[in-house]
Amino acid sequence: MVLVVVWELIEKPAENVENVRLVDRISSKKAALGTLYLTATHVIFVENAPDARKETWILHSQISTIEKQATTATGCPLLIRCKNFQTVQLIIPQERDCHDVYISLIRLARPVKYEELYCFSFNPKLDKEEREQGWLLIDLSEEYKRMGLPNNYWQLSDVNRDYRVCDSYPTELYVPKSATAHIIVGSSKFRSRRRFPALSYYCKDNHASICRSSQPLSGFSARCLEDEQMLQAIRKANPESDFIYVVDTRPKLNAMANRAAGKGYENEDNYSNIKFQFIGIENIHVMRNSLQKMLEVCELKSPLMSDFLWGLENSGWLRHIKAIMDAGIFIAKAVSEEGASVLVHCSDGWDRTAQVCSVASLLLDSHYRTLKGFMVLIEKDWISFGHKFNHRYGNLDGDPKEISPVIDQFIECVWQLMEQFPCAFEFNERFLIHIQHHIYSCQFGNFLCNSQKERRELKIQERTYSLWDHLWKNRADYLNPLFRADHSQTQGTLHLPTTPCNFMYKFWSGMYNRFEKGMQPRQSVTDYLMAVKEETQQLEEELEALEERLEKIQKVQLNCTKVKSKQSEPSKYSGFSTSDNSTANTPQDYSGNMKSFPSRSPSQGDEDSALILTQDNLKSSDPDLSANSDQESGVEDLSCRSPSGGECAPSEDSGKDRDSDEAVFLTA
Amino acid sequence: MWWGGRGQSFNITPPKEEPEMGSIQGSRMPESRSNQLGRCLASGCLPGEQILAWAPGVRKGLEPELPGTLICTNLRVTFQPCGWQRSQGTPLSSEYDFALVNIGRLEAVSGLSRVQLLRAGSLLKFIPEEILIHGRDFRLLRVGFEAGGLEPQAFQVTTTIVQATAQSSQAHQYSGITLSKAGQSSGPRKLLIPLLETSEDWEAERKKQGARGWRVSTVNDRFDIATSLPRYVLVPNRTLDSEVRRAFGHFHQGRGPRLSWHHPGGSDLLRCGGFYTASDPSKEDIRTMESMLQAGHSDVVLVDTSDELPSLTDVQLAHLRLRALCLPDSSVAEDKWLSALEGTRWLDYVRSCLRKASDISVLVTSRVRSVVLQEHGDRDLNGLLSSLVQLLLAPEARTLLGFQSLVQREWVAAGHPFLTRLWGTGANEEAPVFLLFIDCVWQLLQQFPAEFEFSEFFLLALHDSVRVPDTLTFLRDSPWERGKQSGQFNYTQVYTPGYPQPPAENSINQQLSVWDWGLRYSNEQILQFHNPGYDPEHCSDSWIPRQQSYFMVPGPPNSVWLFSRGALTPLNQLCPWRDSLSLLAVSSRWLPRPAISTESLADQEWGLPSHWGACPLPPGLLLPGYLGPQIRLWRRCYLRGRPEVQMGLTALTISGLQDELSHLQELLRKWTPRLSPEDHSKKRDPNTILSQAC
Repeated sequence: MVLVVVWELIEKPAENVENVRLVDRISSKKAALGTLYLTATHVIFVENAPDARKETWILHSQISTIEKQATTATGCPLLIRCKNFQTVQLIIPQERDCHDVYISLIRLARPVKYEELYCFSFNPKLDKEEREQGWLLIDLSEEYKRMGLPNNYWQLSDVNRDYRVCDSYPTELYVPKSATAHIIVGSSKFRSRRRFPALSYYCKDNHASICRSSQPLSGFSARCLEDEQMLQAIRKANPESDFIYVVDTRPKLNAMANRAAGKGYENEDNYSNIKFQFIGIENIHVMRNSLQKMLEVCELKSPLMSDFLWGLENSGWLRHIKAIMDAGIFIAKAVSEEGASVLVHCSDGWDRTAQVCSVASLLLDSHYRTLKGFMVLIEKDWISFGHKFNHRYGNLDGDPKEISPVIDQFIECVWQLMEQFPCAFEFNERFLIHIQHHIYSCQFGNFLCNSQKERRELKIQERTYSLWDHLWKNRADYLNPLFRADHSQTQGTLHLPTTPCNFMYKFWSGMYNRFEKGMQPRQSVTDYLMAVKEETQQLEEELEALEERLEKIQKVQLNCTKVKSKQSEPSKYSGFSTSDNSTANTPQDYSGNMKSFPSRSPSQGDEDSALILTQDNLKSSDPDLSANSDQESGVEDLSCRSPSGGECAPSEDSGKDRDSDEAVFLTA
Repeated sequence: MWWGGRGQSFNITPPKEEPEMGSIQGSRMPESRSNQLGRCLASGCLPGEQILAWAPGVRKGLEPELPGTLICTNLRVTFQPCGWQRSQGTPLSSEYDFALVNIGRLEAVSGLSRVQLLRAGSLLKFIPEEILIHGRDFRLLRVGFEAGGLEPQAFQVTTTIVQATAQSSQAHQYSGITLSKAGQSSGPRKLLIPLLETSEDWEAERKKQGARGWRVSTVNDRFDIATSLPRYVLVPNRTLDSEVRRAFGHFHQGRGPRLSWHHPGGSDLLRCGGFYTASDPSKEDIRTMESMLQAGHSDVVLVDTSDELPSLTDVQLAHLRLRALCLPDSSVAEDKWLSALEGTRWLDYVRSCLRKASDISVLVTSRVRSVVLQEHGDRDLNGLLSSLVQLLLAPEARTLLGFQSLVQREWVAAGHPFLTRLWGTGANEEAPVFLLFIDCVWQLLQQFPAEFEFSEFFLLALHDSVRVPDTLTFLRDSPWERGKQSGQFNYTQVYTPGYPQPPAENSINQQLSVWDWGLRYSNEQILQFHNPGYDPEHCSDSWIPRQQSYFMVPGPPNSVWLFSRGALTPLNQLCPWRDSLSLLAVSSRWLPRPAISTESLADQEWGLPSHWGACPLPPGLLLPGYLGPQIRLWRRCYLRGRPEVQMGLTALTISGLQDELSHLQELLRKWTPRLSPEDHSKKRDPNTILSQAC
């Protein structure tokens, strides 16, 4: 295999640094000696060990912080923390080299232009048509159709055509039929960033809806007739209910503080027939600090029980997760049990509102608990409604105060739900982890920019690939073997207890410790179940084939007895023998599949973009390589052998051998 | 099948002090329904069991709510759902029965605010609308009573439960259920758990382990060396019984060094009590003791098993705290749950046990040597560690049969004082060490879900068994007491339920053991004891005898080590007495203790972090993780009283898929023979495909 590396972007062509040590987090004695490579997209550490050249790959866009620590006798330590919770400590013998690497990485990890991001150079060798098809996989207009829209109460509004009203909203929005353009525009002027109330989810069974907006500019006493009419329109769009809930997801104190700045919350006296509710989810700064504290616990060298439990509690992380869940549960209950519509907002309506609306939708509608439905959900509540991916996840160099794990928290909420309803989700934990990974990886265009408007301007769909397509093609890796479409749990609303206890929520080791192989159970039940399920399917097919054959045999026998006196018709027999051939193939296919199973162990899933890169290279080893590479000049042959034939994610290779061994026996 | 026969009848020996509540029965019961219902209820009674009171009610808290009858007898409280029939073969129910001795706390509730905690002698102050029975096994039974004329019954059954619980608090009065002569069923072939009450059992065990340098000694045949020891012990070949007798005398309560397990690579795992320092052994005795501890190896490691592990008091306190924390109304603020959990210390104790066991298994596998587990009493932590080490090292111990044999050997036969530790006989030595062990095993099951033949459900069953006074296994402190109870010592050699008994023993009722799961579990439940994720093929691959002593080298000659605080320290001598005044010698024998090593022993030995689980581990060895985040709370067990937490835990499991698979295989098999023979020539036989695939 040939690894193509583009050096152009690196200001100083950092030569490979040799004799670098990769420190084992737990045991300081054990450090792997190897060579460090910097490429345009990755940091790669290749172990020197002669038998297995273990590799650790880190995408530049995953790098969260780089820390140069005090030089010691062995060299100069460099600590790299990643956004996907990987932590790597390197010891570079020469202080100078270390400094060079440090400077290069700082530059590489903080691109200033979108064009520098990986997705613009990433090429999975799909032709134009396939790429376009990929972007069509998730279609929001289909989704609104699925909800039963448009109908007598809701219509598609073109008021935001060309982003005239609100530049962070999508162009296609559903609003109540009775809300005229005048009302909408009036209302938008009374809302932060002009994010007026628009439909997020519609429950066709009882006409209740979830709408979302930003906070009203009410200050201490301001009113806006159009905004009041807008809320009335939402209420009227649900004829069976005589009120709507207005849920402010902020703590009351925060909302009140906003009044001084001319913002605030709805006054129940001014809006008729609303029930106002605060649900205290903290702001992005609190969340960022909370995650930081939790990660400090995860980084402890050998955490004792007390370190871990106290640290986890003090981080407050699970308490915040609970707050988000509580809000989602409240809304889901209002919609499903009271049949009331809900308007949700926070300050700008793009963080907490997105979290809460999507959790509520997930609880309400089993469609969102399927693979495709979940992609649609993220597309709808996060991507299209202008969640600021670029700011929150620091894709481009920007204000560090804007960074916050907002969607990470949502993804964790989903995981917590999966733990409580193991049969209700079509997808598994790996699916969530890979989505989280790619939100930061910038390998696909889906999560780029802060709004639909920016993405359209950048022509993202023409220049990058869609993650949804990639995940969908590999969906076999992401299926939950326990999923039961017909299970009572799976259908309709998921019912959680009224006040779920805090300790229902668990620490998600699979996410935050996922690079600590030793922290994970050594054997994956999910993979075992998948194997059993695959086997079941094979047996089912086998059974079907056998039944078919039996039928045919019986028919033939019947015919034989019928035509006994005559000479047998050769045509019948020939027909039979062809069918025989086709079934004879089954066992071979079968054993072939079983053999291929072990490659799907969790450590080997496409955890990392590196996999795609290597697969890419696998393919690119054929002659048309030069034709496809337009950056041929400055291409260097790194001749990195991808580990075990490019089937596993190199960044997680340590300790993999045993895991894969264990995966093998499952099929034995 | 090994779990006991069907269609047996059971006798129960009632508590010695006959409850004097029989008069209540019938006299106050509403006549209208009592006759018919009474007969119906009585049919589920064990011999000697009396129904004291009952009331119709609805079981709450768990989905779905069940209408039925709450019954209090002189043995148990049981909730009998409408239409549910107690199976003849399963006289007790793991789901609906609460042994009176298991009841930890009783609460009567009326309305929203009136709650009365009922203790022995409490007078019920109101007519209860609901009763909450908290089991000491973390289960909760919540029954709501019907209104409309039946309030007296609700009142009565509640009062009766309070009285009955108070009278039955002494577990030692129970002698378990016995199998009557009539119990003769010709079920399928039964797998047997050797109860290790005969020398043949021990001999078989010795052979199975391949312990060639060892023999079964009958020196304790009459329990005259130690009543807490089994009648037979495994000692080195070369040691005479007379020497064994003298040597054992110099150990605490006569519990001298015995073989626990022989590693196929050559090492031996021994256990013994503390040196009895007040004794004054002769030089010859010391030599015997040393050779018994060395067990033919040049390298000996003494492991002080109480070092770095919780004391009995610690364990008891932690368990009490854990129980209090897991009560539905525990007053812990929600956001303080984690620190409160930490405050119980329970998980930390689990952690330290796993770490120690992991270290010991490294000691056993890294060199050919004798590893001696030494605990002052040799009846608690030694059993816990010895069993854990075997689970980590021996794939055999991870099977259903093997695990039960292990518990029988290292806990039941080895004289773990179950009665004292679990039921509290007033000596203040209550400490659920055994439950701590089960939690450790559960952690291993979480970390290695494909290595164990038994399931979480099985561990739960074992966990709950200690609170059911149905068999003597957990109701006595030692094999001697168990033997005393059953009348004589030369009973059947291997317990065989339903097996035609030899005429000589026809008169004795067969004693049941906890391994007769059929007493409390239906066949369907017992099927769930199997972990469908278990793959024995994998084990046989990595555990073939020819790999013996693959890399294991003997240690340096005459090396004696003490393993303490995660590190090996050289010792001057094995025994504390030699050549000088005992006290002085004891102090000089112990070299200064090293600081606690942060690196695991596996790391020191093989240069790998133990939890990393990387390549060069000896075959069969599991190294458990014991870092903070790796130790989890056993929710399905401890939070059973909080049904809201149980969501997802009782959902479809792995076994559902297994059922599906076997169903399909069954179908396939049915179809296969119906294929015409000519097809077989053209394609592979589906049966072979199946056997390869499964």
